[in-house]
Amino acid sequence: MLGLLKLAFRNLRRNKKRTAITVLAITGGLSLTVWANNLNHGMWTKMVRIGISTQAGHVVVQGKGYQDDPEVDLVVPDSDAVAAAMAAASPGSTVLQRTWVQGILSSSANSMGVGVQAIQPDLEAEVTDLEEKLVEGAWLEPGDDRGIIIGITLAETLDVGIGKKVVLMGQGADDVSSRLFRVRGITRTGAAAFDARFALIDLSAAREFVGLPGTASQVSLHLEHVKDTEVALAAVQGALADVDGLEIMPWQEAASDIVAFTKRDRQTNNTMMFIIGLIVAIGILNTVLMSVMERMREFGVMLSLGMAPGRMARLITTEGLLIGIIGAVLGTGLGALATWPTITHGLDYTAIMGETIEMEGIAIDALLIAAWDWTSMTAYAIVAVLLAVIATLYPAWKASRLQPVEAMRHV
Amino acid sequence: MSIVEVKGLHRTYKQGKLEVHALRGIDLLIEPGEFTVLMGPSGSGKTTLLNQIGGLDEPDSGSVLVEGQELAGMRKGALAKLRLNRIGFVFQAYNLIPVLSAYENAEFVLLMQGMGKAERKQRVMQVLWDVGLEGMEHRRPNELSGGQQQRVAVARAIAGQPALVLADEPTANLDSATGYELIDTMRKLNEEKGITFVFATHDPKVMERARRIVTLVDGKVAKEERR
Repeated sequence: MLGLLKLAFRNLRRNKKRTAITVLAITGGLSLTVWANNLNHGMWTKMVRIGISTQAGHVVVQGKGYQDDPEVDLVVPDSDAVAAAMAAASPGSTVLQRTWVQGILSSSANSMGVGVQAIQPDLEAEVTDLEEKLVEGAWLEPGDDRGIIIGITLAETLDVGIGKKVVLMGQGADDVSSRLFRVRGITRTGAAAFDARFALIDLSAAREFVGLPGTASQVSLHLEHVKDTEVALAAVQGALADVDGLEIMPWQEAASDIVAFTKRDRQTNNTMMFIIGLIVAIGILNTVLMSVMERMREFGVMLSLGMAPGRMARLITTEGLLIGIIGAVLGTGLGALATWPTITHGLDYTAIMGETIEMEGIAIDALLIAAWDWTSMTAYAIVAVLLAVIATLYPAWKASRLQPVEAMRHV
Repeated sequence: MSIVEVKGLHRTYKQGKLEVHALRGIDLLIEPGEFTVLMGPSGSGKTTLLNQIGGLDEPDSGSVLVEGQELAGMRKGALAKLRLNRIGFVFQAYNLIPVLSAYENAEFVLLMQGMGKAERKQRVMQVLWDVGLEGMEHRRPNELSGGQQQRVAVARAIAGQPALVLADEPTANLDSATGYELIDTMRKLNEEKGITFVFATHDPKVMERARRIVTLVDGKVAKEERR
């Protein structure tokens, strides 16, 4: 094997131009793939993070059946106690309560169907960046049961500003309910649906509006690191084991739409990368095949000197393997180098996309920040090596079938 | 036991619609240590016979035994192993591997034999010295004269310590003085190391040095002469 490696190395070293072209093809394709995937990974990670923080949590507790059928009366009873138990079970985490209400928000000028999220303003500000999206007015004060924050498009539709009155009418637990609010703040998130049909109120107001005091639609636990989810989930399940009527789930289930979207997008991305890989592999196949045709006489000599046909094939695939390894190392390195500035400074799409990019109802900054996706980087490097070896199989087989006398007649 | 035993060997090639009967029933025995020349006009079957003895080509009928081993029906791998360990080749066009240096060309067979680095180095330096190429080990084929390239080919052929070296027109591309030098080198290797040499040639210089001359005409042994 060592002899074969040495011979393969010699062949690659002595045919520098041919080796360089093949390595360049792998390096170029792989570095582009690594860079693009890391950028996408950054985007997906951020999207999932925003999705978890704004719509769910790393561990979510809801009234049984709420995930499939979010009815207003499917609540977590005594949600303050549940939240306290969760916080105690997972020290260092942030636990917050939310309630969602559907209704019609009216001003003197207009009405609009809206989704209202009731929050604990101080805790919500710790977990989400919604407070930073305020363009007018101020964030809700805890316990402010008459304050409301609305999206900028909704404000324009209702033709209201800070301090103006709006009325929310919707379904309570037992009957239709209505309540007067004053606009405390106006947000611009960049997500069209959020800006046009969404509002934030204090949890205390929602409890009165729905008519279910001491409850919340959801109690969510937010962690510093997503990798701690399983431990926290087990702790919460343990802490709430005696409480009936609850469903406890990790973020993958609670934010399943976002998870499914990123999975689909990742699959599309991988398909694209595979196509790039195939194009590169065809390039390698072409180069190696050309090299075999060029070296026909040389192979004839090797066979006549006693190289076994199988060994000849292994020599050529070893050359492919070495080229693949060199290309994979260089490609991954170059891809990592290209990724670095997009991690430290980001890639600014503002000029093309505006301030935000909206996907699956979630707005993320148009300044995309990449993230290291070590698993994919490793997988792509392995695939690159495999493709390089696979591309040499046919030329290797062809070379092993050569008749020494015939091959030596080639000029 | 004869080192080469050829019995009733026939080989016909097709050139388009034409059939060329290169060998028409050759019988030949070559004993260990011989310095034999196969001579004859172009097309008499010299190279074809050499290729048959070396297992580079298959006969239509008849048999070739090298050191008692029948080549016909031998698997490709086994045939390659026999060539690697027992037979050396010297070709008319040198057929050195162009990307390898003189040292690496001579080392090639030893690498395939799996010999260790230190022993390999010692053996390569020895054979390069044997053929008078000391100091030229790092030169690539295109940096060597025709005579020097053929010496590298001889060094490569004997590096693996074969029992038999088959040389096809080894002096055809060399001038007279260089040709003599090369033949003398091979003769010396024959005498000192006991390697059996079989040449296919019509070069009088080689015939002058031969101990046995087998003349082929139209694919048959026409005459044999021992000296």
